Amino acid sequence: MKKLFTLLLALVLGLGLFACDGAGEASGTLKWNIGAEPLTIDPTLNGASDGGDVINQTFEGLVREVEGIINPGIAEEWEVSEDGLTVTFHLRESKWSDGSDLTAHDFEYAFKRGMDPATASEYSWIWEYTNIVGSYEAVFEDGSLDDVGVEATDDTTLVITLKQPTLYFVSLMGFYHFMPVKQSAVEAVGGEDGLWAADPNLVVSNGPFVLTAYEAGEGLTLTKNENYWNSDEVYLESIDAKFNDDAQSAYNGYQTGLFDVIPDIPRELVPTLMAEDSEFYVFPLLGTYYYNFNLDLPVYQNVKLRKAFAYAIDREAICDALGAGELPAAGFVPPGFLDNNGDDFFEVSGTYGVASDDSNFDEAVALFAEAAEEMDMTVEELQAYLSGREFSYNTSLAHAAVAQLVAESWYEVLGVDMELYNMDWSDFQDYRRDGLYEISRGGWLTDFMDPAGLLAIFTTGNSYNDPNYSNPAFDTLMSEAQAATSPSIHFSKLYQAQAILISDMPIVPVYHYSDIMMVKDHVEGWSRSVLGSIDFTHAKLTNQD
Amino acid sequence: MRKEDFEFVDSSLKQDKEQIRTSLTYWKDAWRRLKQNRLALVGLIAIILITLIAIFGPLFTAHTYREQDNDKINTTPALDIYQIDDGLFVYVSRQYRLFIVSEDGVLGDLLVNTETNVNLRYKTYEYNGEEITLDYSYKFSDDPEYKDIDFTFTYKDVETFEKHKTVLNKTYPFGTDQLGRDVMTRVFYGARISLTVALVATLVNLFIGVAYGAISGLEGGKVDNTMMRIVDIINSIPLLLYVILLMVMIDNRGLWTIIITLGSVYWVGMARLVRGQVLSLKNQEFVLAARMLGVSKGKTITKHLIPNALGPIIVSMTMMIPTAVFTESFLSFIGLGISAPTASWGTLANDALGGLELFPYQLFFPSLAIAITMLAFNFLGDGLRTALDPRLRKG
Repeated sequence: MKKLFTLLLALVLGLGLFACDGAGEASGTLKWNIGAEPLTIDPTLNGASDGGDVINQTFEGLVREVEGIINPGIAEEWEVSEDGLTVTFHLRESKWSDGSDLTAHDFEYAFKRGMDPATASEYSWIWEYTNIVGSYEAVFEDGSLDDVGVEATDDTTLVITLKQPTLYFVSLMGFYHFMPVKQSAVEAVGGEDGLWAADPNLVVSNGPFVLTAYEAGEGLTLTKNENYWNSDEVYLESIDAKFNDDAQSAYNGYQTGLFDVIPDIPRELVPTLMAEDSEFYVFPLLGTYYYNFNLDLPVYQNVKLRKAFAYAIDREAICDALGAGELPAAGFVPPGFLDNNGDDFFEVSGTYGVASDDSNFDEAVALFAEAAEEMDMTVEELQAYLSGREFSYNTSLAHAAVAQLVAESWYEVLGVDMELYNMDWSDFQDYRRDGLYEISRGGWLTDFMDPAGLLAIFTTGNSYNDPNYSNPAFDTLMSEAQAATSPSIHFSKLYQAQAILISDMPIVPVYHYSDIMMVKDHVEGWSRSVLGSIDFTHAKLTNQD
Repeated sequence: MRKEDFEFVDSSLKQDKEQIRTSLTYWKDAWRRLKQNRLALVGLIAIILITLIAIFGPLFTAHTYREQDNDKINTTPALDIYQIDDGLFVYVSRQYRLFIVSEDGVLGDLLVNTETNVNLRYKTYEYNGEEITLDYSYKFSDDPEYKDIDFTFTYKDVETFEKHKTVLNKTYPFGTDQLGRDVMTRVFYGARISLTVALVATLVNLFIGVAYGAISGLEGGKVDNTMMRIVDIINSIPLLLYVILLMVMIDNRGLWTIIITLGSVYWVGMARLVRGQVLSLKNQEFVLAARMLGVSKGKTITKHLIPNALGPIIVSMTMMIPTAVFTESFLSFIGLGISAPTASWGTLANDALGGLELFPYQLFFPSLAIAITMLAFNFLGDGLRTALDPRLRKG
């Protein structure tokens, strides 16, 4: 008994010393609302941003991107060969959360698992854009995983061979799909289909935090990972996260102190909070909100009609009514991508004559008339033909608001009164993919810091190409951009590709997303990647009053 | 005895001594007693008014239910106006949109926001080349001196602290919603949709339920058994779930789909109620008499059984109307009901939920409409029950 007491005393004193010291001591629990419950939190299988937010806390890739800057992660340093075709990562000595050594072989395993068609990862298509030798063949053409240009030459060296120089390759390694997983954990009994990642008994991770509790439909708990290589600079003891996808109740919870961080705020409150609340944050988000035309239907194959629709909305008025920092979209690539000259892709590409205000309305009416003529119809006949057709979006008050703004504008400018139709997200995805719609909502966020991350979804046959757009010129430009040996060629092809896309207008770009969140002032040191994942690695809780 | 000795009474007085009242029909009697019930009359008048508003209201407002003015979003029914110069009044919305407004409350142009400083809490707007500065830091000040001040406006170097007055919004009497649509027109228009759905669905229920229940009750035996087991089966499925399934299957969205699905499912309660009534009535003497006289079964039901069961039927019907209003709004919310921009009271209320904290009036008006309608139907239903119940009939 006495022994125990002494031990306790020593412990308390020790803690006291640490507290004076201030560094390396974890304190406090952060209360975080994730939003919707992630489908999976296995890095290789995950394909959604909510899962990505959790994975960003529990895993760490070769690099860690924070606010656009590529910081060393598990890789201490890396070098790119002169021809740009070989990237060598030198890994630091680090451990998994179970105390075993994390080696370059774990990365090799994780990468090949991602490419393996048997894994059926939602994100396997991204390997084509890594330009790793053999990765495209492995994913799409039954190529052998042994021929892939990923090799762990020793425990701390990972050598990647590329088909052509890829500027964004290193930054891509910070994306959740490229995080390491431990083979024994993945293949553990009962952990099939990514379940291991959500099972506190099976999970092994290498990030600043590790999962210690998971309750389906409720929430999860992350606890500081003492084996994390930089655990001295992790200050939170734990993160108590909940799955509350109702913005209103989450916001109420935030106000009453139930949450320190919430990812979503009821839309109507945004303009007021933006002006009044210092805890409200708006970030640009690298993505675009748009509407798809179903190009399988003859009427939408008329480019003039598509342009008439695209010109007949006042994007500034829409962004202003939404009021959360959205930007009018003329093209598909949002601001934030720098080209080979260091200029912003968005600025250089311009607007292609798609006005952000109402100045295109007259042209829209003229185009509509021309389209009607080409279809051997009078304007009234075309209006009547299109009116009452389905204009669909997935059920949400925010999407309903945008759809009503757009539909009303089409009604007033073009006289086309489409019927708004909303359905549940999971049904909507099938409905849209199967091409059962007429005009439907779409949204796309990039996964890597290159305009190709957005434009590529409109290549023929891409699984996210909802309009079923197919233009050989566009496809050629995209593959030439992918195969380009120099950045200047790469970007010039991408500029041309976007110009073709917008002149064909298979979609109506509406706005570029913004990301809003609220974080209590007593949470300090949190950060965010430009791709939109929140990062609590160095977060601290200061005195709460 | 001479004739002159007698005084003849006027022939009009030669009537029977017994005072009789003019004969009253069943409905006249019911109406007489309904008139005595003040609450029921209030309910009836309210229902008539609501119906009139639903039919004619949208024709008399200056806006349509779908027309958007994207500048004038979320303006309140009552405007706090500030006089910043001689004859120049402004109104600032809860989202810090600044409008020129006339002294009596007609909304003018939205002013362009030129600068926003969140840290120092001020915003500047441009008006005719001059700058108007809105300082909203006072709202957050702990200083008791400023506790009555929300905003100040600086225009041409003069700072205005005092609110001029609060006027009613003349352009949009109930304010505007999040897309700049007139809430009043939408509530009036919503009455059309909500009442149409409620009334038609209830009538369909009434016909199916009454016919089904009456046949089942009168026939009795195997027929009754079979028919009631079918009702049991339908009733054992949660009706809302069944309605959702039907809506998904019909896959043709719109007002009539809701009416058909609601009408085809919600009659089971009515059928049970009518059967119960018929069972208790069918062995009474008047039914026996009718049968002895050879009245057909159909006539027995329509002439004898249903009129005598009318009280409970009407009460249940009046309760069904608000239920239908609610079911319709719920379905519209989960994406199966009427689609935007058409408005029913339910969708209006749902749309207002997100901004409840800042714009409670957007929820208040449709809710008020729902509440008044429900109360009115309940009052009337209650009044009708007492008026129509033959057992409560007196002399």
